[in-house]
Amino acid sequence: MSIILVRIDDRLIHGQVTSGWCIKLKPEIVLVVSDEVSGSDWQRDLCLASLPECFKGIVASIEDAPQIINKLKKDSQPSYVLFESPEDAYKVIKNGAHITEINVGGMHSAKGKREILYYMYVDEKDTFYLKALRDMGVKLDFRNLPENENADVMSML
Amino acid sequence: MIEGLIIGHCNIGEAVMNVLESISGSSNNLYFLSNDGLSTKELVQKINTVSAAAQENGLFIFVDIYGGSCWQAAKIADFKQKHIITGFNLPVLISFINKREKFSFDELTEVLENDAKRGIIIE
Repeated sequence: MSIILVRIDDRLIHGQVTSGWCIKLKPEIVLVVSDEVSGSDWQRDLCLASLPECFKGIVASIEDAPQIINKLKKDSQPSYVLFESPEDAYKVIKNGAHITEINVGGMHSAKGKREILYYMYVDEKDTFYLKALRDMGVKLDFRNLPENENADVMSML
Repeated sequence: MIEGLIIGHCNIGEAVMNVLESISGSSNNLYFLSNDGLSTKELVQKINTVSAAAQENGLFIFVDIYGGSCWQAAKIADFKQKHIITGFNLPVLISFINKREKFSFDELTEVLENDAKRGIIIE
């Protein structure tokens, strides 16, 4: 299994991913799944500029992601998959991506969201899709960084 | 006066402002923001509205580290003119306070780049 981390983090590529997680789980490829980022050249460039040169970065739309993810699973190179939201992760899995575990890292504040943890703000849509992921049998691990404890977020939703 | 904004993780901005005030006295037109709890979009919004004068006259944005959400937000933020200085240290900020009224907007970047590098001394 060459996908070593699947993470939901609305900041996508940033220090916690490239430093915090990479120290523990070293990828060679980082796949960013986002319709917004994949649909815009400058956003794609900005997103990938944050990736250190030692990693290969790929950006994919939600539609293209399942095929790419299933291929990465079979590749020998270890990879990360990054989603912006529980909704995006759910859609990609529903459309055929074979993902069994997701690290839920950063979901930051926005209008209409309530605070669960200092790094986790949710609204009804997030709650719905987190529950849907759980009900699909996906194991959800709520941690910002590897050394944190797995927080019992589902009971707080 | 050229306006400045310090953006960083946790409370680095606030802490650095406290240090600057203790060294250089209080500074007008120098602000700080943290990305704590904020999505990148929200941080961009806060940057864009930090000062009406900055919208018109431009802004120097000091970011703590390259690549993170603070840097990305600084890149996206919309000003008539802006310069982003990433990986700030105390010497470059002190230099900004002391020299911003002596140089033009673009000249100041070269001055600050030199001062930032000279601020790191390895013995």
